[in-house]
Amino acid sequence: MKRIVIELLAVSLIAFSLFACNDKTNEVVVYTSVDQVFSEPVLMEFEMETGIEVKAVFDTEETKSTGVLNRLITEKDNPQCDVFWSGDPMRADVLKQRGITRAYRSGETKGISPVFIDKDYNWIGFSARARVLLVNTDLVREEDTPKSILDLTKEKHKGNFAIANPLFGTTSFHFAALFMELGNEKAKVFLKGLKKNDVVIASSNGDVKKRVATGEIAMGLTDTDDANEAIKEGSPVKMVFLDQDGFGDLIVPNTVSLIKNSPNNENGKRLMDFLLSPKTEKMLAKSCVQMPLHKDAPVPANVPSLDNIVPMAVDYGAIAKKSEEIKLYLKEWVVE
Amino acid sequence: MEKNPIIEFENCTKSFGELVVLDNISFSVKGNSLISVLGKSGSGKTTLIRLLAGLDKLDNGTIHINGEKATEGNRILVPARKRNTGFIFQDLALFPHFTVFHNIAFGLKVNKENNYKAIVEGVLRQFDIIGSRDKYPNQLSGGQQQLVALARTWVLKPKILLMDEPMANLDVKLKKQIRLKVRELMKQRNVTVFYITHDHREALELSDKILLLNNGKVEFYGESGDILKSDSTYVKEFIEI
Amino acid sequence: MNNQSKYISGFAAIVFGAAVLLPLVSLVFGSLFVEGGLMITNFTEIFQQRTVLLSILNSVIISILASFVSVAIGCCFALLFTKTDLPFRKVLFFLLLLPLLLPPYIVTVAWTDVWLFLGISKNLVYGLPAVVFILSTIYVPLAAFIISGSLKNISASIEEAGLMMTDYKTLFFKIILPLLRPALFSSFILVFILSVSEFAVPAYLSVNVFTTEIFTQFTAFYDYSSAISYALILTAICLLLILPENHYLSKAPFVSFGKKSFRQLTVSLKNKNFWLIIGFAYIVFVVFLPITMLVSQWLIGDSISFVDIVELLFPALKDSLLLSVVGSLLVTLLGFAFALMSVKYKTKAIDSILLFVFAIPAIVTGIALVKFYNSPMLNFVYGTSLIILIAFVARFLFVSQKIIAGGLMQVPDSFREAAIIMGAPPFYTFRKITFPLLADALFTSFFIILIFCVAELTTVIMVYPPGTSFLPVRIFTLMANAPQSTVSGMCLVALLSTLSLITIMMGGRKLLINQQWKRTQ
Repeated sequence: MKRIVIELLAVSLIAFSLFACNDKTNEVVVYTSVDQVFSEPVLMEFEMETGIEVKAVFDTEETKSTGVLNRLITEKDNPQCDVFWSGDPMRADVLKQRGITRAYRSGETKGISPVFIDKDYNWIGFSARARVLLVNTDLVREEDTPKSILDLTKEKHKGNFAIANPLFGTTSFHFAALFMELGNEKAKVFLKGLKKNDVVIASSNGDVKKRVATGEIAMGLTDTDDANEAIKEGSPVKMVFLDQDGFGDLIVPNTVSLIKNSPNNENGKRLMDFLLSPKTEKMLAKSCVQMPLHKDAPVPANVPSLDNIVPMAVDYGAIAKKSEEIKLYLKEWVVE
Repeated sequence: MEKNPIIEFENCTKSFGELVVLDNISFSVKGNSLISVLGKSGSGKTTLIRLLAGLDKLDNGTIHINGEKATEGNRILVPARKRNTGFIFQDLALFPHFTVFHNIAFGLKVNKENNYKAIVEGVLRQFDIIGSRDKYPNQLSGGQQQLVALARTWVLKPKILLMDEPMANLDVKLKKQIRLKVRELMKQRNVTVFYITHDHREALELSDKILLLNNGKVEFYGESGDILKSDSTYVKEFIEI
Repeated sequence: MNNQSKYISGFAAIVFGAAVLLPLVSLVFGSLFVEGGLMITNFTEIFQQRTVLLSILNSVIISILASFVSVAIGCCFALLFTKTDLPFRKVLFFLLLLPLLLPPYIVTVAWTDVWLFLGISKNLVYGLPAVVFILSTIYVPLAAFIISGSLKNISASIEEAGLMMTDYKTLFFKIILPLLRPALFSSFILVFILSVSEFAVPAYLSVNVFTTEIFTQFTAFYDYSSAISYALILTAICLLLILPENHYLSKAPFVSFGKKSFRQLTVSLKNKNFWLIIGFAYIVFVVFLPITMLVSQWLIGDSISFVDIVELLFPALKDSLLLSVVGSLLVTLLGFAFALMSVKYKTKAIDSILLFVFAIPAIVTGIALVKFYNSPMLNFVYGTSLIILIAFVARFLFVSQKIIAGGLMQVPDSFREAAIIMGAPPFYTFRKITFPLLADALFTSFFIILIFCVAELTTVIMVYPPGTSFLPVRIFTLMANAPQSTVSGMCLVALLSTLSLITIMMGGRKLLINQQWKRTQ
């Protein structure tokens, strides 16, 4: 008996000692859905610069993920997290609607277009990706490359293109934006057209990228960072910005939010300022071709510039609500 | 009832769920005798000696051992390890991860006998199994396993020895050999033996007394010779006369 | 049951009840009983949707098929590798384990790559049969492991008695198989529940299953009440399994005699080469093929060096393995206590409660733990790795209890009673007799739980303390945008480290068991 008690005590002691150091004074807790490969170096840079220890919970946008978002929602009554760094404004807006975030008007917002900022300052956008069509150049001739997203319903592309599940990640954001742009009626006709054209529904944007890169499928909708990865790997692919003669291509900014009643609010603000600075935008431009939103920020050669892209003119704050509205329809549409 | 009995069952009832295994039985045993417990399978033989050993509780009744109340109803007053009984299980229960030596030494060590080595060596010689000293039970023949089980119990000097049909799987010659051993030991130390068997010939040959159980009741209890004179049809049927 | 084991069991029950059951039950009740009434509407709504019903059907079909295939093949390999004199059987058995050590998602990606590389039609690759195939390859070793343990305890005399009268084939079907029923059932239930709650594999292969629905409710709709109703349906399906088990196994004879006191019959194979080829072919085509794919993906392209990967994973690797060892130890200890309870009290209630906890989808468990432990008072749990240990207990106690209870049933009561009559105090008896004889089952539990803990992602990602890092989480979050070669490399490193950990432990186990047996004497 004694031995068992001792064993149990030993077990708990080891467990405790693993992460015993809990110095609350100079740290900041950040939850992020931005891929760790890209977000971790930025957070380390902040740590180096300020001496504030960053404790991060990473997650991804992939559909497999249960999401830091669920964790944030569940933790609402006793927040552990100071800053939420999201890959798109929609999730940030979900938190805002649930009263989990609070306003913070960072000084760094000056250079950023108000289009990318929540009107109540519950989230602020920075470095952006765009939704693109990734095209396998071995399989699709130049003249057959779609120019508009609506071209995907054309007979000649039947069974040749993939999208990620539109209930999750940036694809859900994209589809909500399309509903806003086209109106519900037209959007539903478009979606029916996609199904009729045998759209392949992949598990994630990364999955879409992979299938196009390996030539398993000819084209697919994905994000610029995924597309860029395929290009870097030397796959025979190119990315196409859609609807440049029409309603424009969807720009997806990162966003950052301050959590209400969080333990290290002040440090959280400092981290937000850092993330919103041109310096971070520069780092992200370099590491994953994200487009800086600061008007005067330098854009590296391989990064598409907002100056050269016709963006879809959407009300980012309203997309989240639109998305809520169409989810049930999309859910049925996926398995139909 | 015997005078100054070493064991006394008084109105003992034991059931498992709905099934009444022993139904209000009473009998007593005087010291230094060998009692064969007979009966068909399921007649309560094993339960009887488990109660005696203190492994099971009663529903009702009392068991006295050496004049002391050992079990009263569902209370064990003298725990199994203080009853000075030896129990040889049907499966012998030799510890498979101990050698013969350590199987026999187990009880001595538990009872803080410092001189256990010498005692075990002595018993090994007495039982003629010294050659198997460092073997594991699975390396022994059936007869040898039997002897080890007996020796393991014997070394603790029990006053009551309970044997649950331990020789069922042995051949006739070995059975005889072990029976003789039990007899010899009994005489040596003045021990009372309860010996479960379903073989009435064995019982007649071996025992001083016979206890025949039928459906939880004592059908016959007396000198083994007397069973042949019994009027009961059940007894007659059982011993095939 | 003596006093000491009562204390042990009681202590375990309190720990489990307070640490795991309470959070789960309060979440489930909290979300089902809104404003004093039961949310029946949730359930009626669910069953009115055709797509949902179809997804339930898909889930059940996949899980039943995967369980059947895994148990059937696992049983064959268990037989081949434990009962025969096949050369290299130990090596083959060890290799068989490999798919269990990789994240299912990675196995799926590797297999689809293999199939597409071989030019197999996309329609075949993305579909239900592929899901069944992949899940089976992952769970065959689990079934084989459990069945093999049970086979080892069939006494040669039983088989020999049978062989006097008939050939081995009849003997197998008439004698051995019935004796194996408890093990077959345990592994079937385990594989079924693991398959039915698997999310990544069907999602990647575009098969709509019920877990997708639960996940969608959580991650797309943030509708916890519906999500938990969905989860309860899944749990109910799993609980239905225990009913036939109850019915079927109440009559099943448990192989109940002392280990090692009986010889084991080794069947001498007539056509060794044939069986050797079968064994090797399985290892090559089912185990090595996807691994080879990973290796080639790692080496081709922007190849990242082994050292770089280790550096990338090292902190997570160290913490993860250490915590998994501690977690597996803890789960096994508790599993032992619960096995004592369920065997001694012969009650199905304990099994049912543990099964209920195991069958609850991992994401629900995660949310329950966050909801319960995220309070200023319990921050010493939520803010430290204690929360992960609790998650391990919640996820895997059932598995451990099943394995150990199986072992416990094979240690006859007479051993314990013999010791007690000889004057041994109960705890001494436990230490010297019961424990060493259970060592095999305890180690089996320890290994299997260790493998599960190292790979557990869903709950860990929900609860891990900020700033710490765990292997599956790190691989998962790095995977999203890392080049294929890095992802494959990472998985291989993870595989290698788990493998070496297990090898070390197995070596240690041999020593320990020998020592233990010597020491107890």
